[in-house]
Amino acid sequence: MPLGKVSARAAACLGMTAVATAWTLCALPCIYVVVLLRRCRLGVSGRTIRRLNWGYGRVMLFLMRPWLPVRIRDAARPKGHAPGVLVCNHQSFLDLFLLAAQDEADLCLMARHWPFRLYFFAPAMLAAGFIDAESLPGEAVAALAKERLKEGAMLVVFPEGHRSRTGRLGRFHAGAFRIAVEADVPVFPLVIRDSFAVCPPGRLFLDPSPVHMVCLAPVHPRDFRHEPLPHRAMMRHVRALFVQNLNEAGVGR
Amino acid sequence: MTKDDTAIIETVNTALAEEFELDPAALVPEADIRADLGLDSLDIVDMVIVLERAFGMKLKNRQGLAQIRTLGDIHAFIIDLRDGDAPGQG
Repeated sequence: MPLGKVSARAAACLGMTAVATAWTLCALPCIYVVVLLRRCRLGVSGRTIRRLNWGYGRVMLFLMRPWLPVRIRDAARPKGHAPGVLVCNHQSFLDLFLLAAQDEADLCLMARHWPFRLYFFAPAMLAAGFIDAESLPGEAVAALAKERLKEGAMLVVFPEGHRSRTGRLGRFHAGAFRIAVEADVPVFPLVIRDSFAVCPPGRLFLDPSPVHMVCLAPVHPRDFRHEPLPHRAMMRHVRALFVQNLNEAGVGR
Repeated sequence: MTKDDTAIIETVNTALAEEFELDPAALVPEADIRADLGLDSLDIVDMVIVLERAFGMKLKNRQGLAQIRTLGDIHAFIIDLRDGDAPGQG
């Protein structure tokens, strides 16, 4: 690669990393104030903080647009839909920000424990009512998830359980689908492509590249009621949709 | 190991490989269900149902079920049930 191209890429890489850091440093104190208001029971709900988190991500994507254009196809998802479980493939930590590219703002993350260990973000995550699925017993996780769905939130789950180490789709875990079946709410598959190239595991700086997202049509638990293990049948069906979509894009399984 | 034991082992391995999309090469008796096969607590609940369907008998609430750690433990558990060694439903 010519030297000029390398230095332009390095400059873009540093530029977007600097913008992301600067915006986070600006936004975090404001979020902390709201979290504090919630802790003091001053009329701030978990939903407000979830929307604030979404707003933080939305502005981040706007600021990063010159280097990180996000193209989202959401024609298959009905507007004004009921609460449900949003399931995404997980390619990089950037995926959490990419969730803000969609119009649904009341997003409640259900994840393993490690994101809750992020020193700067954990207070906002806990105040937003995000669910630590690894630290709580299964029944408590399911109860919290159903409570958030009743509040009208969209539950967000990465069914692979962790970021892909290779960029390929991993094995799915069934928890998200069991909750969808038990709460009788649809699953909304969201395919994220190319975020692996922006920030593969172990890379400190972001690499400029377009990212594509596709909202697939919702999948309803009623279509799997006849199966012996409906949540597992639903999970297999949804994973097949991801595989099909990623294969069409040449990303592979 | 009898022919029946081998059939049980094959049935367990086939049922688990199909349901949980496991690599057949990973299905060795010493494989830890959680650490090596990657099954979580919800998967283990489903696993019991899958095995109940595969063998046409109730396994839930059987004594010894909670002590299962490896694939070999599952094989031994089912073989013991067939032989009538395992205590009934607790």
